[in-house]
Amino acid sequence: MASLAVRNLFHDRVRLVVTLTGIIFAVVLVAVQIGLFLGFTTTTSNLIDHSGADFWVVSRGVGYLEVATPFSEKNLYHARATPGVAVAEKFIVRFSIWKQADGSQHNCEVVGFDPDSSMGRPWNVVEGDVRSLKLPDTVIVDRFYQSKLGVSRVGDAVEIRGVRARVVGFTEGIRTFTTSPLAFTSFKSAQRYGPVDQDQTTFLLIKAAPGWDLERVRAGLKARLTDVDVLTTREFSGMTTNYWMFGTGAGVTVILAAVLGLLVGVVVVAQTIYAATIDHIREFGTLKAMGATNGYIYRIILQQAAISAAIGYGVGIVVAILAEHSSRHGGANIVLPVPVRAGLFGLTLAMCVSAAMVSINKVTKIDPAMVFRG
Amino acid sequence: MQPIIEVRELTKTYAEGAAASRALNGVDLNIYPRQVTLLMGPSGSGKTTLVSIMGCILRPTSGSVKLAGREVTRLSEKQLPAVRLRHIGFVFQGFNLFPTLTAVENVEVALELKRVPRRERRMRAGALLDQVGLGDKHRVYPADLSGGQKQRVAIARALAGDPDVILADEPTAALDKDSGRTVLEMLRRLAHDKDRAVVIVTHDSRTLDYADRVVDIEDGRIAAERDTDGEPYLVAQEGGWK
Repeated sequence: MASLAVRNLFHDRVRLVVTLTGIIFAVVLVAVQIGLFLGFTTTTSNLIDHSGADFWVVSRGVGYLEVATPFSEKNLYHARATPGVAVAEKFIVRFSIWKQADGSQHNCEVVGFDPDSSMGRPWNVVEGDVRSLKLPDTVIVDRFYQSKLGVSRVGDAVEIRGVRARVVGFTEGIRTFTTSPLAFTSFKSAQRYGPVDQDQTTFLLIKAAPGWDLERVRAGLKARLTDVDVLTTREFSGMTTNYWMFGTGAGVTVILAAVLGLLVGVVVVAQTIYAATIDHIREFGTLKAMGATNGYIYRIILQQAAISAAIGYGVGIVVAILAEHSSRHGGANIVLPVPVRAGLFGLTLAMCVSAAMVSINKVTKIDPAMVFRG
Repeated sequence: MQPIIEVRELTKTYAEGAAASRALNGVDLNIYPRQVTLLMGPSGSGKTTLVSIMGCILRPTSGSVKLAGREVTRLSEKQLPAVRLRHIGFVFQGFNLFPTLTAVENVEVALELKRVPRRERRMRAGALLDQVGLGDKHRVYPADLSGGQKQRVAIARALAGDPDVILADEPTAALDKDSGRTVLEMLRRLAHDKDRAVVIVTHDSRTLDYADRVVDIEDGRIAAERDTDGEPYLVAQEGGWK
């Protein structure tokens, strides 16, 4: 005989669908809200996180990526001479003006790096080649922004701050939090698009030599470089994320939405599971009269909750993953890494079991005379 | 004859203060094996409260209940399920079958509670259904059974625990005349042939034909005890009839 829990769940298909719909709705809601939160968070710092550098050298007091001010490139040579530094490269991130062939203009963020370096390069290049950026006045942009930037194919020509530029490739999935698309180009071209003076840069990217203690390398860099801060990639990423998430209203809105999504999800699941249990309260009363222990009844209720959680999560997470995939082509960026998916299963299980515990409390207090009512 | 249930000075008061309502007021009663005892009385007289306390699912306010010689009113909540499982079988007016389980599975639940091994459960549950004349309804869900058939499944389920006492609350109230007769005949046979004590709470005067003894309850007290011919009830005790 299948357990009473399984029978209670699957016997009434309509009831099952109602229960699962509630859980699936909650799972999708929570997953999408958390995914949006993570999407915003990672978008604010993805350029830093994908840089491949151990350290970012920035002008003193710079709080986040987009606000960098230029400093002397003499620091580059001092950095290269610092013990423990394997590679040091100049790097530019600068807002600029993108002018389409039809004359319309948009803001963009110019990202200038050394195409021969392994640091600061665009990732997910789906068309064209990074090496093409060695040619002067060439750029690589993301496909997501094609229509906004007025380009449709490799070879299209535009102007960046009055300087002619040619599209030589496309990336996929590189978004910006500022809504200004990234235009990857060579460092030299970026100095003209910025504009940034010939002997200046906005950042230095540093890679430590293998086996060197990073704090020791940083101490060496701090001792040699002037008027700059030396930040680990993680530190600078965190500072940039913090600025956008907490220094502006945008992040707070996203966090509130995620928290509200979580609360609504918990309430929906609690009500759904509670109703499913209370539907069978008379049967639990009968079981008690027959001599079932509270433990026996708790097991049935918790089994029902766990099975509902597993099925609801299974369907809900598939829907959420589909939403994540479709968000790659839409306006919102949803990110659901595997640990978050796993955590969400734990959360779903916890929500269902907690809701079941509330109904267990009700079952414990069943009026015994209830079983005698016709 | 030794009683299986001995009730002494039993009182039960619901709520407290001005809202207090006394459902039982000093009830003394013995329940004997091999007898069908009817508890009769108007609505609100305390019949169901009495049967709930005798079935160990409700605690009295004061007084004593001995079940198979053991005082049960002072047992803890954790101890009571085992007592119910060992000694009591319930038959309810509304059948109280599990709608998601088939007839045979409904009976199996009682055996599962008794920790009967899985393989043995199905065999014993089937045999019990055969006994109550439902040999061809093992795999039928309660929704597809008639009222009389449902009540017979409930009786089979009550018997699965092999209890000393069957407590039946208005077992014929939801049944037609023929089904009611079948169920009552079955309960009488349980008492007379299987040595069970059967207690039936009822308003139904047709039940009198199947009873050995009638206990009239009014306002929470035993108003009269009589046999079904209306004679005051006598029971054999040590030293003669009482």
